[in-house]
Amino acid sequence: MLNSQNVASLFPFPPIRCRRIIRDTERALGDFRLDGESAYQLGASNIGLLAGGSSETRHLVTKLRELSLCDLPGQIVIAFSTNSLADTYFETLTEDDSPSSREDSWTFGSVTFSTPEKLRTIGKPQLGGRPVLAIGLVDPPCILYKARGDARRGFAFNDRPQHIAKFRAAHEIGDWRPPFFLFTEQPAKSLNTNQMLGPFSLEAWWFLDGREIRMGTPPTIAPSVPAESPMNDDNVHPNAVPSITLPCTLTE
Amino acid sequence: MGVIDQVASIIAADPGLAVAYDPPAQEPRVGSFLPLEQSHLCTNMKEYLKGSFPNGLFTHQHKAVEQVLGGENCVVSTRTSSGKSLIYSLPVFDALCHNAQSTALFLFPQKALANDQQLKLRSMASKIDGVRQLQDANSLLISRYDGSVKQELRKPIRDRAQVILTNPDMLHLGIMQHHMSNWGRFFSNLRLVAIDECHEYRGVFGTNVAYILHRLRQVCHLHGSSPTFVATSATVKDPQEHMEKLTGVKFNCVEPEADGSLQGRRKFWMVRSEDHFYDTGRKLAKSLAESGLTVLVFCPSRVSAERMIVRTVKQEDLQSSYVRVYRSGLSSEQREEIEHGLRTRKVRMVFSTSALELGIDIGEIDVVVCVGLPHSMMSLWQRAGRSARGGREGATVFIPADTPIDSYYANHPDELFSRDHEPLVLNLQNRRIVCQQYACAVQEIDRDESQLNTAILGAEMEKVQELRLAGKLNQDIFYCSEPHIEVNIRSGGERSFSLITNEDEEIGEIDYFHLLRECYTNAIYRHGGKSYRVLNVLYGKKTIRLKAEFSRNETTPHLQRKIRLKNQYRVAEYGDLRVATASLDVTEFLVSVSEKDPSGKTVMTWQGSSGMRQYQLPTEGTMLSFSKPFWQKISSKLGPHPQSTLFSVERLLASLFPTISGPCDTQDFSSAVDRLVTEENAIFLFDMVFDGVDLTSAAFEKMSELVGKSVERVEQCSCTTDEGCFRCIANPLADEPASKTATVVLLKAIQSVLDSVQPERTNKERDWDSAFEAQAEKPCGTCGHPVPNGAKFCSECGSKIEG
Repeated sequence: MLNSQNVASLFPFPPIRCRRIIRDTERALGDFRLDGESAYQLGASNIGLLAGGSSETRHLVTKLRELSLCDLPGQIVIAFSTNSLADTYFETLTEDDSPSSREDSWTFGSVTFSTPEKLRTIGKPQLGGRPVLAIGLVDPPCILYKARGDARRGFAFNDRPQHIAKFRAAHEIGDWRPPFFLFTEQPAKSLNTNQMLGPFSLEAWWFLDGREIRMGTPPTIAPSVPAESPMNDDNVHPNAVPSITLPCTLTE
Repeated sequence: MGVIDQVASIIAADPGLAVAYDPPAQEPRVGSFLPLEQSHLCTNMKEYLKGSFPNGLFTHQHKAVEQVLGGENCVVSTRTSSGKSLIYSLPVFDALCHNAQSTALFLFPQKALANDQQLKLRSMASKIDGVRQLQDANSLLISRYDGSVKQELRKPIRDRAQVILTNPDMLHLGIMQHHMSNWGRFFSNLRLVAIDECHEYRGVFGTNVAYILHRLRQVCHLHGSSPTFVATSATVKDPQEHMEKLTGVKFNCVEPEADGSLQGRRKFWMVRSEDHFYDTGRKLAKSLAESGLTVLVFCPSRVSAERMIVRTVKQEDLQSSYVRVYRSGLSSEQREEIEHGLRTRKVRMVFSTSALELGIDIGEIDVVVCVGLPHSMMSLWQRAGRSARGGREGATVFIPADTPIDSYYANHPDELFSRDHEPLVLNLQNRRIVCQQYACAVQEIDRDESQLNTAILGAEMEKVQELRLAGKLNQDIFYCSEPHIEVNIRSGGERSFSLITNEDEEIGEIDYFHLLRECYTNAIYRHGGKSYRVLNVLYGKKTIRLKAEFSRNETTPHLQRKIRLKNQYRVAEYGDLRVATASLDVTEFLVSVSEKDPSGKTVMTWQGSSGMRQYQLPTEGTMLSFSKPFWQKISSKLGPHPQSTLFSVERLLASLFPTISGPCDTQDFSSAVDRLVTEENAIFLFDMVFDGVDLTSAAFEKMSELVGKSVERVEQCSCTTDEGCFRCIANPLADEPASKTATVVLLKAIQSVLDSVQPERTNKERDWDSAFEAQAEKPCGTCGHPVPNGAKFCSECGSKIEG
């Protein structure tokens, strides 16, 4: 059985940080950090995180890239609401302009990407046997929660939000489920967020200011550097995120 | 030959008819009169009565009129055709003779009743000195004010009418809402409120009407008047108590024992045949009408009434024939044409639903044929009361349906006819209704909640006021600019749908509940004997698009129910079984539609819901659930279809429920089989009204008796096959065949557990105060947003709510 201490071991540092707000007034409620304590609370109480008003796609790509570089003891899974959105992110993240080479799900450092329908194809090999730390859904217009299939018109039944709910349930550890993030361009106050709880099997939402979301390894506070101190050899500020080659691996 | 002899000979001449019940005819009774000199009516009134009623008033009329003249509220519960309408008419005209400004309000549950009474009152007024002059000067002195009154007539009526005949819907929506701007004169002079057919005000409708009448008293208080109430009904149980609950004021009662009216000779029969009961009724009614009698045929539903007329007369001959169909949903012109036809005897055979069972004077009806036994005793006596009026002879023929309950009473007719009227249920604590009515009451006092007259409106309204003033109740209804429009007083649900043909003609309307049964997409909908195909159901516009289509085919909807168990209150744990009263959410949805030709062959099937939305009913009921080990053990003994056996048991329990509950209307409850979240099978009996009226909870204490009667019905049924018949276990809509043997095995297993095991009982009382509190709100500790009691998280910030 997991407790907050166990979960804390999964989050040696908070890979996602943001300002928590009230839905309607957007008044700040303080800082949100995805650390052991908050992750345990979110997972155990089945609370989702709605990052509304998130920046445009290109901007989120940068943040997801930073997230993928984190050295975490588990994987974060991100699902894109449409195939074309997945193609766009795939092209941008991999700098590969042939989306046909994109697999149903692909891993990019600490992050595994997919679409809701293909989440079920992510097995232990793709996750490297590591636990799922969080699940994110990138849904700019925020419409996926309505896409629950329409069997009466002859379409196959395809309850898209339930794919996500089932994936979370499949990766729960004891009573703890990986926290769920919804990234959307719509501000939370413009959405019927209560109606969105059921499709994702959630109890409540915490609302984040999507414009201020930060991902990746948090900057460490360096000891104060004397003004006259020369820059280091690489002429890089000590707090800057190091640039490294992306370890991109496509799933089989 | 008299009517009774004529009917007797026609029944005897039909070899296919077997008489199941043939009691002696009720002999006529002479009236008991009191001379007019003893009355306190004014001279003009006495002069009129001397001319029209030379023998004086019946004793009960005299007693009631004197009480009303003395300013006492009075309810009269004498039998049908005992001159009750005269009781509330006389004091009104008497008041007009004394004070030419005085006004009166007549409340009828149906528009048709108001129409009938308006003609009578105007005719009466023209014969009374003092009132005649008022009527000559003001042609709108006595006026109907309901939905069918033309717009251009409404303002003159508001300005000039002194006797308004209306229904609770219009009183709520068109009168009370605008009392300040349009009705000041009327309310400030209001002397008398007459409530006709007061037994109709029960269940959800009755509860809403009770609050409307409480609001009416508040409005009168604002305008400085204090009217006297007079109510009538031939079929009401505990009339005094009912009216006191309905209005909130003390009532005197003129009981049936005081009835001094003249009554004609009357005779009942119950007949059966091997044919389908629809055909039996149709053929018998046709023979009676062809012999020159006027026949009123009561059908079990609107659909059956339409089907019977289609089989009786060709569509092209409809207008020229003497046969008509009468039901709700007809336009006022269509209804008036039929009522007029009956009076002039141009129409001699009417297929009707319960719409004609109330006290409309529809001419000389000789014979009433009830196809299927009426759902309630009130309905039975009201229907019988349509014949033998005004001292004439009359006959009533009952034809039991092929259902377990009708078969039971066909075998025990004395038990049926000795039953009392149903108790009239009003649930003044219904939270949804109280909140809706509170919002209306507040709008009527110019939205100053603190000025609400809770002494008049009652304790429940006071409770809501307390919570509102403490900022704890914030439902949307309290912030509507016109809350009256949002409240459906008939069903507690949503507004009705208009029926529009392909020629853009509106032919009537249908409510939300009947939509899934009669007017679903692709249905063949019958209206006034004509056929239409339902093209579209437009939920947003509350409109149904129809296309005229000549077809003799019939469509049948296949509905399914899902039950969500919310709370259990009284629980009896028997180990293998559990019986509990519970609050439930019942969801009904369309699974498929099939169309059959007249030979019964299926010509078309539409799978799925056809775009029809589900119907949801929050209600209360009784649950009988089976433990998994018990069900596994017993299902092995139930043959190849254990689930269909469960459905047979459910059908029997529901059908025979009125035999253990005491009299009740079979339309007020229903049943379902579903599986609980614990995977246990369960049978539910539940009330068919929003939030329940505590009806089916009667099965909790009498489950063993109910199961015993079900065993008896199956074992005593005369059918010979194991699949049974509609009178015992067969269900026309079931996919799998039922088995009598298996049904008896299951019923006896249930009975043996119920009789042999001492149950472990728990009780969780329903606390109405806390139910209101549960609707209240408190501020979230983190963001201050109001959060409903019972919520686990704040919807604005997601913080956990403690306590």
